[in-house]
Amino acid sequence: MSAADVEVWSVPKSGHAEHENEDAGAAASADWPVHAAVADGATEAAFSRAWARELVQHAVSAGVVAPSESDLQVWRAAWRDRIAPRLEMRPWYVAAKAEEGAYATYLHMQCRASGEWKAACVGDCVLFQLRGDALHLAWPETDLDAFDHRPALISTTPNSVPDVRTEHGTWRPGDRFLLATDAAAAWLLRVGPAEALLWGARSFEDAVASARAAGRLRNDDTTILLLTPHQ
Amino acid sequence: MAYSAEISREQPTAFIFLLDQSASMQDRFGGAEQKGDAAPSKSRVLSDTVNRLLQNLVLRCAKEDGVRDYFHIGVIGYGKRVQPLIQPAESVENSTGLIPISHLAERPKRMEERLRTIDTGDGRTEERRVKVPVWFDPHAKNGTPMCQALDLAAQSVRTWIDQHPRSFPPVVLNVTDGEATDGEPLRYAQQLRSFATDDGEVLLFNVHLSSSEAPAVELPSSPGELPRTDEYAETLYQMSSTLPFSMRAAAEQEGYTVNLDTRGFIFNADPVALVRFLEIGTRPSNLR
Repeated sequence: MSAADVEVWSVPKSGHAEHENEDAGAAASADWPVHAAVADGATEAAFSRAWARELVQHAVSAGVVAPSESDLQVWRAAWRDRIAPRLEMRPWYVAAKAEEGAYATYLHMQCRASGEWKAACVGDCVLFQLRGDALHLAWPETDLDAFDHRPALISTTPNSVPDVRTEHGTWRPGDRFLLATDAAAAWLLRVGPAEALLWGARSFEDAVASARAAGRLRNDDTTILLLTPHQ
Repeated sequence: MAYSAEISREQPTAFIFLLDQSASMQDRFGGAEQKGDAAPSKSRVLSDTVNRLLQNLVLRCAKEDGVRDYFHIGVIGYGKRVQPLIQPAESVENSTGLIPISHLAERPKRMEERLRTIDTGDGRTEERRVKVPVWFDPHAKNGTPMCQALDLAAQSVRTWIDQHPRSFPPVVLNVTDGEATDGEPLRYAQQLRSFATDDGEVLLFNVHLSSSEAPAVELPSSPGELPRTDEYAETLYQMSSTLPFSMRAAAEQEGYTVNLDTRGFIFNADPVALVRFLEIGTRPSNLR
């Protein structure tokens, strides 16, 4: 039996195809400690989807919550290797965009069998801890006005030091965690995160569509990772 | 008027450049580091500015798999004639004279190599050769039919708005040394600005390239901030739209001092910021 149940729901911005979804989510939940991460690639950079994926996959498989410069060097090299074949014979603007680098927000939490958790965040993703149906904690941002188009980001540019915030706490059996990228986070802050406990993959897509239509959810890539640690 | 419509491929906005190509643009530019005969002509500064603005717009829309058509672009030159300087390809059917930005991205006139100082990220800089696209070369001939150019832009935006009634309204950027020779441009500017989508009225911004060596002015909020040595600055200031809320917020984040009266007017300075203030998605704050 795995140490936790993990579900990742992600819907691209309306009008965008699935391969244009620049959010990513990943988890390592087979054994303790459990790791889960989400990242949101910046729209105005190229190869951000690849960067968001490299970030979450490397972070959870290496068990690195708050990446150091040396971790980032390895992950940036993986990103460069991944995009290199796609740069050959491309028009001028693709090379210019790759030169500018890729960017993503990032949220990672680690959950231990001992009942402790810790998390790291760059930018405007939000971690929710639910106790039963009640919101126990939302971190780091709970002010809806703080969600704008210019969050802190992790960059592929060498030696660019991200602004990493960290937090820690404890969990009890029955607690659940939600990791949400910015649009989803603002939406959950508005409607109450317990709403997410009713969703599955399909009903999440329906909920996103109706919330967008009602103006409660900004049109953006929308991702929620639900983590239920086992007792 | 909200000026909050999402800019997307389904709901693009329009950017129309009006380029002064009159004889007076041969005169030296007053805002350059080099002075006198070594200073570039205003027409050279104009073509460099517009090429850089277009490059910036293309890069804002560029992704690994191509350029997304967030913007439709029009370029109208005024000098010897008043005419569109870019034409839609035959495959692009429209009656506005505007072309999707992806078509422009694929067809620069040529690529030129320039020496750029690059920040390596660890406090050092290094010079690198980079290839930059060139769409326009300097032109300077005859009078300055700015009123006709504003009128042609008005015709263009009217048709475009009919086709995109819910879009963020068109942005018209007039780059000039200021002297209209065919009438009173303020009246034509007001007419152009009166056209509107559901989201707001057309925005007219002016970039004033002057021979005056008065200090540069960016986004002034009162006529008192204008240089006294250039008689056309005040007219261009009056012609310019005030910045809507979303653009003011972006300007403030970049360190500009703005208020409700701040106008989209730039005197002898780099106007690329005006392009950055339009929001099309999460934007790394260090991208320029």
